[in-house]
Amino acid sequence: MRNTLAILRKELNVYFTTVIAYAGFGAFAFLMGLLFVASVNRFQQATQYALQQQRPEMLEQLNFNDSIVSPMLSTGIWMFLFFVPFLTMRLFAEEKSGRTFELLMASPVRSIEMVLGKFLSVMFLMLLLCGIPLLFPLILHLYGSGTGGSGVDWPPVWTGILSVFMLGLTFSALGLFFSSLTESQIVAALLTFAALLVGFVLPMMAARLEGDWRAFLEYLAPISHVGRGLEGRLVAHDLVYFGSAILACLFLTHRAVESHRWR
Amino acid sequence: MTVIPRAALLASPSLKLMIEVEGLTKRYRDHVAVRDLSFKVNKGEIVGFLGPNGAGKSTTMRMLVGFLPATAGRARIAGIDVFEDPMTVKRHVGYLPEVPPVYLDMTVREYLAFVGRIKAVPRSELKAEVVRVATLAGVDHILPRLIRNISKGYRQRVGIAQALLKDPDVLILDEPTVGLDPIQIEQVRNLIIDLGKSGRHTIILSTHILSEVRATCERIIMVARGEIAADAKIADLEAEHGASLEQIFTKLAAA
Repeated sequence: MRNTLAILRKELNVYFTTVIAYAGFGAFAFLMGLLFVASVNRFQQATQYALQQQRPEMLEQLNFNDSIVSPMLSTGIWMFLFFVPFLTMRLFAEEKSGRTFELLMASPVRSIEMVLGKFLSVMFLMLLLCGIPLLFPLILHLYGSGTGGSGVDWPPVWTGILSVFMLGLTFSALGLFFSSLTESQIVAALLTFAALLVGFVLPMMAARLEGDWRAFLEYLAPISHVGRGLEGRLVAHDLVYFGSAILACLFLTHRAVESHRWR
Repeated sequence: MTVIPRAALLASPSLKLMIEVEGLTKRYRDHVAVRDLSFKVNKGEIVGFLGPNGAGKSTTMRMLVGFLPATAGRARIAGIDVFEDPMTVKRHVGYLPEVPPVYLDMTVREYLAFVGRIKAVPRSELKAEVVRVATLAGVDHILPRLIRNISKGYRQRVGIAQALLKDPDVLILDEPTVGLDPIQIEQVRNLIIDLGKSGRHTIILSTHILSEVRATCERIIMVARGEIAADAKIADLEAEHGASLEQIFTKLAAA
């Protein structure tokens, strides 16, 4: 336990003394900001169009959640494709190339403590990263509230962000695994990127199939488990999917680290 | 933290044999790095582990500290099997690898505190322990500096400081004076000699600098091509061969 915390602390120390965390958060915030501005523009155009056309039923359909927050998040998760490998590539690869892995292995630290400490550190980064898209509904809430109350329906925002967070954690666990396989951060990042890309295109592949294979690939694709959360529905089997995917990745990472002790 | 009876054994003054290596072998596919190595080191001894580059010194040390598994053979430190109970052994061994295992993006203080934490230095003693080892290794004046910005010699000394944390019974130092200037070499040698004088520490240090062995060690173990070529007191060895250590080294390494 103490070793896990010591490693967590060390990882966060490195993330925040180097430029990694700041560059990651900064770039993510900037891109999310662009998405937000684009979504707001589209929302305004839709509103104006509905007003010009004198169609109140269209206006009733328009709301911040469905027109701004949800599309912003579902587009935003594509950014994980770049940000997750960027954040996770160094975790084990850097220890190996910097020869500090030898220090950890010769210290009374168990492999599981290393894996958990490192995973918790990316979990913390992911928590902060997912805090960034929360700012935009907050802006809508502050400037878009009227006599009818807040313009933002908060529960779907929470479930959406939670789903995105779980997706980010799953990707991070995968990145951690690939980092444990190699000495090279570039290789770790590339492998993670490739694996995530496959994850993103799985639903498209599934769409061409039918029957059991289709259902299987759809279940396997991480992003097909975010949709319901973005709609405001927190479904147990989505959470079970993320939980088991994370555990599987952590288990594989542990095996990869432990293998150094017997080869 | 519960006290493990075996750990108590380490502190017992009656224990004489600190390091025991029997038939240690490391094979990578068809390449044998270390072949059937056996030797014993008593408590309080400083042993020079000598040999040309690629003789298997680092490999042997890595096996002793539980970083590399052995293909065959066994190693015991303070009577505890390194391969059966690595956690207990690791708590009592200080290890300096060939390349100092430092994190470039941490300050010296943060780094030593981190290693102290994973070596289970009690929280209340951590600060003082970091200062203690930093002073011993001569890096106490650069504690707030980023390791990335300090010289190779200082990094090496930070590596030595790290090995001294928690005052381990056994120190395994892989080429401790590499990259140091002559004054620093002198300081590190004196540090090793001082540690040896206390009689509590058992030290194995590897090197291929013969004057270093002469300055710090009484006994040497010479390895060549993964096998032991000599294991004796320096004076005995010289008397036996009627030659200086340098000549013996050249002869045994070439044989």
